[in-house]
Amino acid sequence: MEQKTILSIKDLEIEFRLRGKDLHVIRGVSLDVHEGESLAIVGESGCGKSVFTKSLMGLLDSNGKIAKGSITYNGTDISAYRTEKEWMKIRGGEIAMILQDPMTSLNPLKTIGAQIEEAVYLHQGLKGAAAKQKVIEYLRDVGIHDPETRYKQFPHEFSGGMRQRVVIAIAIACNPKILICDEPTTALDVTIQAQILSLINDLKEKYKLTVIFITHDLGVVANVADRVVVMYAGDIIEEGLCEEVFFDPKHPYTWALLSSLPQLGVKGEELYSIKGTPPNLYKKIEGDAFAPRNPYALKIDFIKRPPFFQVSPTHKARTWLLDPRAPKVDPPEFIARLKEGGYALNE
Amino acid sequence: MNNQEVLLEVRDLEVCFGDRRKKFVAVSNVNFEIYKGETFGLVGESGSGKTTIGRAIMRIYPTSKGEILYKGKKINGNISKELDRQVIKEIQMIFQDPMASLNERAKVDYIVSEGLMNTQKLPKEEVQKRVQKALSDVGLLPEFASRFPHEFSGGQRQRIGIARALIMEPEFIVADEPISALDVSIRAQVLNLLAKMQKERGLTYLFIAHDLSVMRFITDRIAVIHKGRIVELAPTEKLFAHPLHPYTKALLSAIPMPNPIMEKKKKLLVYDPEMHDYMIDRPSWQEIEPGHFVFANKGEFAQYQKELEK
Repeated sequence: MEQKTILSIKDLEIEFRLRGKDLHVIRGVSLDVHEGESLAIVGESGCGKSVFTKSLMGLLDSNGKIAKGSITYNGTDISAYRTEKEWMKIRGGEIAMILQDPMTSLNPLKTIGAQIEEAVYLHQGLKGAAAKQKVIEYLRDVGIHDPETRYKQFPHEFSGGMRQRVVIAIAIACNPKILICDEPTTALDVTIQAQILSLINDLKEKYKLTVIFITHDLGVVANVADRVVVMYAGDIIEEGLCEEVFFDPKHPYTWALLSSLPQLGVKGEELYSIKGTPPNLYKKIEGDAFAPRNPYALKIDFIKRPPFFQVSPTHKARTWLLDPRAPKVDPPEFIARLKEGGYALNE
Repeated sequence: MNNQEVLLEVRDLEVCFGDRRKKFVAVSNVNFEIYKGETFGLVGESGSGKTTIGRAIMRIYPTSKGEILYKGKKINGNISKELDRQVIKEIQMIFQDPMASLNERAKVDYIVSEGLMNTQKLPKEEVQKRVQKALSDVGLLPEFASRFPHEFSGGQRQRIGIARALIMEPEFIVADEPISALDVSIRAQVLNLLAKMQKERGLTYLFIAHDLSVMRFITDRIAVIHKGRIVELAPTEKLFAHPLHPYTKALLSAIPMPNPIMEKKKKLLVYDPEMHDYMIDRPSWQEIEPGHFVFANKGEFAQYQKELEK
């Protein structure tokens, strides 16, 4: 399938200067985002997934900088942007973002209507009655009942799920091409989570968006993503279509992530958990960053960083286990359980 | 099931907030029993009153009606000093957010030992020894005792919270969403720790959560609560095999499954309380099969029975 690439990231390296030392947060990430797809970036907290997407919008903290590499959006290298003025062309209008916690991402002193209207004015140039009309339309789009009344209300009059809908409305009102959702449902209940995810899917169809999801929850990924990227210690270690990553994962870290899901646990047995802690990013990482926690690690994993091995045209993983010379290792039995689907619910 | 010893019993519990004019009934008509050594789950969405029930048992919130019996003795309302001391020692709580539940200005040593020092007169060395033991029990190094909470990650902080509960040698622990603020990989570690502690010490848990997927792994019986009222109660496997109440079904359908094929074609069920026709036929709390209770009226009860026979 020939797809147009909307955003292309090449060998991106991001460093933070902290207490006189350099923290290598992103270590040489290359990624193509196709137009109209939904891509999920998965990893533990601290693996750099949020920093990575923030760099796409020029939102890195002042002590962080792009040390190497390029981010190409629509033919221009946006990683070279230095001034706020340049970034403002990208933010909102081209790439918009939904943040994790809807409790803190809205202004408590302004009405919902005014906050969405601000985006409508800035990005579509509408004012007065026309702008209000548009805002009410967006509120209806994100599934808020009685938008005329809700328009005049303040954030504290909304529940968590409703606030997240408002945040989504603001993002959509900017008319973006790419929508980045940074853990959009972590602060929400399961029932609300499912509703928000299906809302984002509907809006994606309606406004022809490209969606990038960031999450640590693989259950969420299965629902929404076309393609999955697994990140560990600032590096992409596996990339593939959703089905490929779930049913035929290759990297031991992906195995570990999948195995620790409580959905797959059997009562009375111990749940799989990843031993150890993520590596210290102050030090230079030799070899495969996951090797010290990896029960399947080979000797070479500690010495040389593995390249990407192509599994299929759309699926690749960064592990020496895929090298033809490596001993054959079967994935843990948990992975087989995945295919059976755990337990059936919707018969 | 019935010949097991009942550790905690909740009868017709009601908790209200506010005074007469702005009275708000948070939970009402709550009835359940928790057997010794089991894990009892309480599931519901936010605002359903599940935490309120947990806190009423901890005697953080006063009750307005009903009884809470611990080992056959009433523990809500006014109780004797002696019983008060016993309950403080034997019922402990683990809180939801490890970032907010530890005193930032106190060292781990103090946080963990505070309960001991308040209730028992022990020599300093003995307290120290118990703190060290409690820390190593939950998988932390004893030298962490002299550090401050901000030096720890979320998973480690939750372990400190667990150590603080365990040092009292409790019999019953109320765990209020102990893992919802944690990362997936850390979740597994904390769940394993809770299961291990239960096996070693015969603890009884009341496990509060909004996520049924976790419940299936850890609980023996589950009560589903909606808007302050328990709508279904059953052994875990039965609840997953034959959910009856539409709200339970909605909760089950919302569990994110790590399987893209199933997940993409699954239908999300949404529970609408308006669907019940309770105008004439009033609902009540009934046992539909041994150990499986549901809140239904006569018409619904007959329909649920049919579903079970299938």
